[in-house]
Amino acid sequence: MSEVEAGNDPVATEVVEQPPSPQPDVPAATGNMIEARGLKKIYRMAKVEVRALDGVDLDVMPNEFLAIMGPSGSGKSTLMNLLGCLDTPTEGTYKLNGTEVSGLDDDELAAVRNREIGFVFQTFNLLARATSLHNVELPLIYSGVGGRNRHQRAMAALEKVGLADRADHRPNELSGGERQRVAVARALVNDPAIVLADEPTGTLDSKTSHEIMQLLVGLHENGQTIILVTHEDDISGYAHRGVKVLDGLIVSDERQTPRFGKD
Amino acid sequence: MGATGQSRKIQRAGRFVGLFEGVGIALEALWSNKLRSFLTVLGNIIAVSSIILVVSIIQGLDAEVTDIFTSEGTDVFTLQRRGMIFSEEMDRATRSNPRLTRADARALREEGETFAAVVEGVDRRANVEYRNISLDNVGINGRSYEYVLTDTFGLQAGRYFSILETRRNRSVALIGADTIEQLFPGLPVQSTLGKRVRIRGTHFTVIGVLAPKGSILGFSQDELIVVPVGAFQRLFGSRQSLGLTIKPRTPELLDQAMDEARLLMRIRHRLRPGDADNFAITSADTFVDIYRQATTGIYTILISVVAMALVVGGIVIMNIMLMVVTERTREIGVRKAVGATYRQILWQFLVEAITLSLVGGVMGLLLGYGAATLVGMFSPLPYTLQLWSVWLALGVVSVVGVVFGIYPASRAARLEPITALGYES
Repeated sequence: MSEVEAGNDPVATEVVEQPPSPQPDVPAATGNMIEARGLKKIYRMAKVEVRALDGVDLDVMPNEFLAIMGPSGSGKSTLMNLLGCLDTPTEGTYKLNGTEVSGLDDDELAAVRNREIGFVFQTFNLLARATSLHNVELPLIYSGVGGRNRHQRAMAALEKVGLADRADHRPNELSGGERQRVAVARALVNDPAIVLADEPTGTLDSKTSHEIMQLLVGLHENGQTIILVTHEDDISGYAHRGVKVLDGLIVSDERQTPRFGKD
Repeated sequence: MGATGQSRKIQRAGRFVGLFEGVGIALEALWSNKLRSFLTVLGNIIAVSSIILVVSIIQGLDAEVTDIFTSEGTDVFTLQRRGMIFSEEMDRATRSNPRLTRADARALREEGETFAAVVEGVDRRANVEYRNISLDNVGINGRSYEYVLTDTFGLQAGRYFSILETRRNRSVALIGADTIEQLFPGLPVQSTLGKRVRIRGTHFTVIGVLAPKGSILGFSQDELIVVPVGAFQRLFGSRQSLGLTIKPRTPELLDQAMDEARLLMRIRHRLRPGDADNFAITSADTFVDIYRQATTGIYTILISVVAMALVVGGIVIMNIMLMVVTERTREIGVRKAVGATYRQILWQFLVEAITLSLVGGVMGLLLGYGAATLVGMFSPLPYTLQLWSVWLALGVVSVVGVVFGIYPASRAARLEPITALGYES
């Protein structure tokens, strides 16, 4: 992904140095990784209409490290689901890495997730019966990469997170931090456009949390675009840009100096 | 780059990728909960083992039973007072049939144009003695001299009886291979010729020894004595109806000869058109037909038993698969999150259901084969393992896996990723 690596921090942050809600009629700068316009997610239950997301615009440049923050019920999770192509918006458009994804069907979305998005979950979500290697191979399996090539790429991803020697261990033989590293390797294995980490340290102690965040910081320094979803200020402090969500709207979008740098 | 076009390509590439994984997961899940697995596949085990067992035994029987029915020869037919009785009604209808007599046999010989031979026959069981050896329940077969033409044993020593010996009711006997061995233990068969055995106290001279035929379903066919029919009647009286074995002049004339015998007998018995026959004509084909009908009946019952077991087995598999889908909802969510398509998830769970079903099938196969072997060892019933029954059984359980696995698999494949991951907001 040379395109991503070409970008660097100052440029990215400069572009984000915009008012919280950019005017929709201003064309976004070309080369945006994420270009969301007027995203709405409305749930209709009985006679009540719940506007989980009520018109969100968001641009993310390549190689940004973005934290989406907000209390539970703010619409932060809904936004993450939409950005992660796990769900489709009721209204609005969403362009991911140049592809308009808001109108795609389920299988097309699956293919986009497979290629463009690497998920890191709070609860790791590794397959319990499978080895680390197999867990990392999973996205490659679904994109039809086979044999030696798959094995090599999965091993390379495990090496990136420093767990090559745990390739044949199952999740129950690994510590929490190691499991999350395997999950990060799985997220990276298909060279995704963005890594979407949802409370990646939610179940880890502070020391391990710091290690995992250090890992993400390292990826970012190597050019990876990262979106972090969290309600913990400590964790959002690793990001270079903070987006606060409340009641289905983005209430602030600011560049920030990471409070925790690389050790 | 068109995401749509590319995603289609991706789907096609990875459709079968989960196949071995599915088999592996299914086997591992089976192994980790053996009792539940056993109960899950019990229906299939029962279905497949019944198929294998019944087909093995029936196929084994077929060969032997055909032997029995053709042991009288396939180019002859028999005329009897009563044929096979299948119902009380038939029993009542044939009870008053007139006996067949030596006079009937003479008439058929004289008037029949298509007959090469009419063998008079009458059988019963009696005690046979030689010196201090006494055998109970030996089959005594009275036959006319034409026996030589229809005999299916052949001789290992001596000769058949002649026209003269039949006419004069001579007390001569042909002895079966087992009976001769029992009466004259250790004596060479040639040396038994000329010895005199007693049947019901009357002396008979041994003039021939029949070649051995072996046994069918555990019963020896070589425990018998053949004597001239007149001598038989002198011993036992002539009240017992004769059975006539009729050999047509050529095998091609069999049907014609059967028609002629029927016509001649209807005339002799003064039957009017419309009256039912009061005698029975049967050929080996008749018996084989009856046997085939019986086995068809057994197969029909087998099919319904198997179908029921398979439906029950299939429903249990479906139930378990629905449970498995529920248990692994989060796993499905993860797979979908990293890019699994509808078809890929569908395949994974379908393969699992088929594997489950096939494991039951293979266990049933072993059980059925084992049971057939045991039956073969401990009973005279023969068996042969038919390869087609193996393929049939495995094919059927695969279909069961697909039919009952498709619903749980499609439930899994239809799961929304955010629902499956527990992300519902």
